[in-house]
Amino acid sequence: MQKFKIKKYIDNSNVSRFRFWIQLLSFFLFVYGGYFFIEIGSRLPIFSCPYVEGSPGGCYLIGVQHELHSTWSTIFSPRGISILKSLGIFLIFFIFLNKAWCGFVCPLGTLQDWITRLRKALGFSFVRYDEMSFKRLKSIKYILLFLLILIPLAIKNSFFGLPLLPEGMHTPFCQICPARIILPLFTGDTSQIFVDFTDPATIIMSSLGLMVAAIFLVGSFVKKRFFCFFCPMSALQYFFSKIGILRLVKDGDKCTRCGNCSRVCDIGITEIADDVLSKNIVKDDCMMCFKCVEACPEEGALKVKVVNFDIFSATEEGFFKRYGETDDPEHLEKHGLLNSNKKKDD
Amino acid sequence: MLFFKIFNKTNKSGLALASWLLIYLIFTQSLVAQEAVWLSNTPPLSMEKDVKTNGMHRLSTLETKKRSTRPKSGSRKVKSENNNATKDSTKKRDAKSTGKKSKGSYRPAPKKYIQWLRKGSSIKDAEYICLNDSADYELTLMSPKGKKEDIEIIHNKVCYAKFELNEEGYYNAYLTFKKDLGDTLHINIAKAELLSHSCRNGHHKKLEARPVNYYPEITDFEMIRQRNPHEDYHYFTSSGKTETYKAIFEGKPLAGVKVKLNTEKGWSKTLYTNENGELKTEFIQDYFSKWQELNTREIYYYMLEADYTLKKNTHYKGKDYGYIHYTLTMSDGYRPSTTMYSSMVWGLVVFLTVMVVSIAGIFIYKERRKRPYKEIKFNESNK
Repeated sequence: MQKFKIKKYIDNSNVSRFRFWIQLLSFFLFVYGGYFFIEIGSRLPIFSCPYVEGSPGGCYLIGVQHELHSTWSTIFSPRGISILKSLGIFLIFFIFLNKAWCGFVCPLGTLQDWITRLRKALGFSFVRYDEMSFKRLKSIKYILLFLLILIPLAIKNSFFGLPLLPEGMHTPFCQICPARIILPLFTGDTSQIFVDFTDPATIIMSSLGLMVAAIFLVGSFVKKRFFCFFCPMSALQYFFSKIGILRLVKDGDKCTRCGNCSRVCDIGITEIADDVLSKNIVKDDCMMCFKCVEACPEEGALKVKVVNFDIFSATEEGFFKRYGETDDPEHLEKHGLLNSNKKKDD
Repeated sequence: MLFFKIFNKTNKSGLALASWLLIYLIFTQSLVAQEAVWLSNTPPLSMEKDVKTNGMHRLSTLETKKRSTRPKSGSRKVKSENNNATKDSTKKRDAKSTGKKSKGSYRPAPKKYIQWLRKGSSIKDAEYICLNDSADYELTLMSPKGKKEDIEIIHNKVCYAKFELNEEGYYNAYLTFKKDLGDTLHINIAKAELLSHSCRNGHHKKLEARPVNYYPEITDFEMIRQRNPHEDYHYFTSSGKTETYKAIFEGKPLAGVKVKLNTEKGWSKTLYTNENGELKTEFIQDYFSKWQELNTREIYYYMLEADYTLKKNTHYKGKDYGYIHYTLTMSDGYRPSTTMYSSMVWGLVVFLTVMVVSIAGIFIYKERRKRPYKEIKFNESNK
């Protein structure tokens, strides 16, 4: 009986509020944790940027780029085991939270959510990609992931007899990553805002990094989770999301395709509403923020599971507790539940 | 049993041999690894408040700005030193000046420049030393025109060499020690190349910093910093710049001299001079600043330590030596990379430009998508 009460309490709770506090704590942990002698690890599945003075850990992408900045003979020697070891550590971290690392822990994701809050407070409207653009743009993160693996290899190894890439392109993604430039600002460190004049490659890469950082700030202001859509970490995580113990599952029989879930989705994933056949509903752009579960009024249509145990389910009662029993368009719009057609009609 | 006896015997003799070897090594190492003495421009912490800097190379001075000014802080001895300096300068001024000009007018006393005596290769941790009156040393200051100038060691809380730089150009200061190291005579030459130039004094003369002066009559072995093309008195070496040093023995270039470069931040590099007696080195970037703390005129110090052993029979203080070992030290400063500031400026320009362009782009895009309100009326009665 007690068990049901707890489950009911969780199902009716406001996960977004819980998420806000977790994000706040995580942000402080991953930006200032190092000042408190906290050390978490250097193969984390989030942008825990080592360029931040107070960072208690390191992002996996910087590690993998360094490791792949080697000749084939090194990679296929016993030293190459370190690449597998790093991947193993990354997976150990990743398995526990799956893509919820992005939704709950990543400091760069949190920063985008805070910019969205600022935009809302200032009363600016946001933009969403149309379906065509969404499909075209979502491939960018895979291209970036491919390049961040290929470029370090091509610096040390020639492909098809082509000349080696310049050393100035080492850790190519870090050079263009907005986290390297923006997160240190939170510790008062502005030293990453510079153009590296060492050689033409560093000039291009560092300038590109500054451009991406500027676009990140402006983009996040007009589009929710703007950068996550292009994030190569998200692409990498998706390859392993099926082994994560935290799962987001859908019961297609219970879905009425009302579209609430896709409307509240910060990324704008439409499959979550349209796909009634798949059980595992974690898509490559999903960050497991569970806003969709909160916004679903159908009993058990969407569930968050740890292995096979339900920890949070969509319930009618929970939906009404969170959004209230009203048809007031202003209220629905505030929660992102007003669909575009209704908006036009009004 | 026999085996154990032999083992014990050999073991004991081996142990004794090892002990002697260890003692010999410690003893000889202490002879060979003599800590070099050098002239430093950096004051000790206890005197930082008393010291001011002057000129392009920010040379340390103990100066009194006004005739009546009392030194604010420092030890009694330093105060007396300052007062003496004031008295000396007052006498000189009185002799030179005439009536009206001297009455109540501001006249700075001649600046007393200082170089501290330090021992050890680490710039950060090298100790500030004093010399006994009985110590065997020679201290020489040569003017840019090759004239010997006054220089003296002041025994104070810490010891320092005090001198005046009245001419414009590079002065050379030499402090030479001789030390008995068994069969070797060790000569430690602490050299300082001191630029006397202050832009406050105007630029009446041509700022030509060449040629480099060296004095075989003072020291057989010397290191000089080669002047760069177009170098003037405003030149200051910095991270990323290549400097050329030349080893000279008896006025001729000397090849194969081992030179160790130590920087304030702990970076060190060992180099050897080529057949022309030259070595080139680039200073690494030691200064990584935040925007708000950027100081392109920050000075870090380095110290060159050149060692050269000569097989030559010599006689010193009634003793014969088979070898002469020279250790020459020379310290100077270097500034942060000159491109550092421009890197940051360009960074900010790119960052802000892209932000402004993006904002403008989004604004224009949104404005263009705005459609004027248009009411569409359906006439249902036609059906």
